[in-house]
Amino acid sequence: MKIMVAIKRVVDYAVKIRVKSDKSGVETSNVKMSMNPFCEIGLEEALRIKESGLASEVIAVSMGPSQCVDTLRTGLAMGADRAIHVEASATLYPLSVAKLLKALVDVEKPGLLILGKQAIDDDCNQTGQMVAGLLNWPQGTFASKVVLDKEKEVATVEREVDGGLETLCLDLPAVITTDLRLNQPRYATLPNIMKAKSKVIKKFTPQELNVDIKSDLEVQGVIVSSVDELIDKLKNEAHVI
Amino acid sequence: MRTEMWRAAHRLISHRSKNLCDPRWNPNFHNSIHNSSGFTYNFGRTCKPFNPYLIRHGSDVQKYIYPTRDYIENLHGSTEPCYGKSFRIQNRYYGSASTKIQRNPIFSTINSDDINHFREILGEKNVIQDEDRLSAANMDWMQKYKGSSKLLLQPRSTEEVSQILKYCNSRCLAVVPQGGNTGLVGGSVPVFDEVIINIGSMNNIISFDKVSGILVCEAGCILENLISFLDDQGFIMPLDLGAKGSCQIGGNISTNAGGLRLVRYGSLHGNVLGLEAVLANGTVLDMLGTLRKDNTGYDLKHLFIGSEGSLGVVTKVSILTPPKLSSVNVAFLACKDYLSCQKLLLEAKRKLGEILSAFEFIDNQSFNVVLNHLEGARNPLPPSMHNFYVLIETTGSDESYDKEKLEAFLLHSMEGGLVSDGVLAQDINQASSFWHIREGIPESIMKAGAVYKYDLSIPVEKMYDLVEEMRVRLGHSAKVMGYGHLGDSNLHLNISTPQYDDAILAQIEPFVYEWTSKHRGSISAEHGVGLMKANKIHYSKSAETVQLMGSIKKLLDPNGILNPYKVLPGSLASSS
Repeated sequence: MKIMVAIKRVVDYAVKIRVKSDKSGVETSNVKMSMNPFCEIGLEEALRIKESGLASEVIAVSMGPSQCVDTLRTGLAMGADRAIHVEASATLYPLSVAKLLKALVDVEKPGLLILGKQAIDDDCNQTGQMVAGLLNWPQGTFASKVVLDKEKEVATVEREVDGGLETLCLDLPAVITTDLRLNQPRYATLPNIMKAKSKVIKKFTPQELNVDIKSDLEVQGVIVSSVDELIDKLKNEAHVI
Repeated sequence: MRTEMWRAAHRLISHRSKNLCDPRWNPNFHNSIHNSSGFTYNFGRTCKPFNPYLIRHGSDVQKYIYPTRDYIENLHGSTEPCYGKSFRIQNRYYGSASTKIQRNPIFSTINSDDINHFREILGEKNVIQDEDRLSAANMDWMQKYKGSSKLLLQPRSTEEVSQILKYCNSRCLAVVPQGGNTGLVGGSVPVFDEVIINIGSMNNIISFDKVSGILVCEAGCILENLISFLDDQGFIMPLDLGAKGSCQIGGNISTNAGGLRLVRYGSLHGNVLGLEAVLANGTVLDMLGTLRKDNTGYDLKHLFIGSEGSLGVVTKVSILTPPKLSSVNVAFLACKDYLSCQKLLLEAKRKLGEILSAFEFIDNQSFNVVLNHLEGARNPLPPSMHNFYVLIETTGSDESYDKEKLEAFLLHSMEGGLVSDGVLAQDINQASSFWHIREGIPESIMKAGAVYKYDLSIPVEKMYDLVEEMRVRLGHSAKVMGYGHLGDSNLHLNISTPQYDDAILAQIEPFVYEWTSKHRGSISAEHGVGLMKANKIHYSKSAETVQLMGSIKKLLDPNGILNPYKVLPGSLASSS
């Protein structure tokens, strides 16, 4: 069984976020970028599953600009067998990423797709759920424990919910998104960094995967001057209260 | 030659100290004998039943400071009537007879007129007599030295410092300037009843020049605050050390702290461009230049860098700060022996050259203490035994270039057998966790039990021999650990025992000092001399040099009120 892990390149967790001087967004030039910590946990879990003999191959995938290759190299240095980079310079929203992931799943046919529960830059927490929906696979989100049963082809996922722990049994193939307490990721050792240099990173473009990158969101609005005006609009124009 | 010199000097000291104990010389002699018969401040013994309690409950440093403090305060209560009559050095760890110091009788004691005068200068709330505040200021970070000051002053300006010192000098009141009180040699706490002048309220940043990177600030600025202020401007402090959250820049300069980045940015003698200091008689010396080049006469600011507040109180500083570079990489490596560490250092200097910013080494024993006692520490390497660990940091301006360079260096060292295993931080979090191990060593060793700390400069090739010799010498009675700044030939030798024990101390000292002296090292690389090594200065400096230091002290502080009993041997201070 193959495991596919989606990893995202984000502004490093420890960097102090600054707004661009023209207020158009977050400053990302000359800022330290790293692998999203939840993705790191996802990759670690995949590697542990492989090391326990329940999977044959771990494939790290990432979407975005060409520098994503650096993040994929980190993934390879941690122990992923090979990597796929979908090069896209436009802004990617969760739905586009989910569509790209679905296309890659169709190519690679993994038995398990692992993602971080969310990325620390936009905190969307949507991609895993969307791709599960597109693939029509069962999903176990916010996993704090994962146990695979190879014979029955079932993954047992413990997840942290408000009231305590919830245990789900998923038929494979399935989508799992990882929470903070699932594991503690390993460091990239020198021998593995050396090995990673000879591992393959395959490139795709969204066109090759037949995915159209566009924003499905359209934001419209007006700026109101007072709370009274807001309430008035919500009552009389939007009819929501 | 050098050995001969210190021997001669040492004889001189022992001779002098005999005089000090002579009853005819000391007017308080009878009182002191009387009072100390029932009670001594030799905490090395009185704390014994208490130590296991501390260790069991000491899940972090802060938590276990308080019980000791209460304990010592209780002891204190019982000695209250003795104040002014008898003072023994309140030295918890090194309570052997040789380190006992008597209070210098020429110093006055504080009376209510003094308090009123200070209130006039500083206002009611900056004259502190509150027991709790005082007990914190009286004890050092390691709880090793404890004074019994009754007064803490918090000046807010150079003018106030000047008025305080002028008054203290005229009244012959001894003072101890204090910053963040993170010193390791007892230099920042009173020995007896010295007035504590805490500079912490003087914490304003005066100016920052974004082109030249020159920062001018008051001496009470906390190092970490300066670091984060500069970070917003795109610059960094040229020094960084584990205590950055509490230590103050004035104290750093007075100690001439070295820290983790010295290998890259050099010592404070190079980075401090100017300073303002107040002399014992209240004279304000304005040497607050912001020039990199200034060859007009004697460069007197250097006298105040590293003189531990014994020549004057540093009130303002101007520092040259380097620009912050965006690409920082940290590797944590394992080496099989000390020779490999040395070769690796040489290779790193050659191959990493301009981007190398730290080169630290940790031996196996220190590493294990961290893993066992430091919260949140985990072994970054796959579990297997290694004898030495090295932390290498590079700082440069181009992420991909630096990383490529460092990786190439590491892989080459690995192929050459210099490095047996290693990890490279992939994000800032991982980098901090490697640093956490290195910076957490002192804290972990404190949690592990009693500790004897030595901070030595020794030629790199000989450095670890001392650790090995100490291991042979002490056998199973103590755990000997070595770590430090290999890039600066600076060894931190720490010896850990379950309890403080004079017999162990006698095995360590003066052996460590003699050994260091024999190999032409320094007995204080970056911690300073303070109270701990005041009588040991001869191991590293010739008698003539120390004599001249004494003359300088005499010239700048004729009454000897500034940080007495410290830096220079007692014999010099009382010889006049």
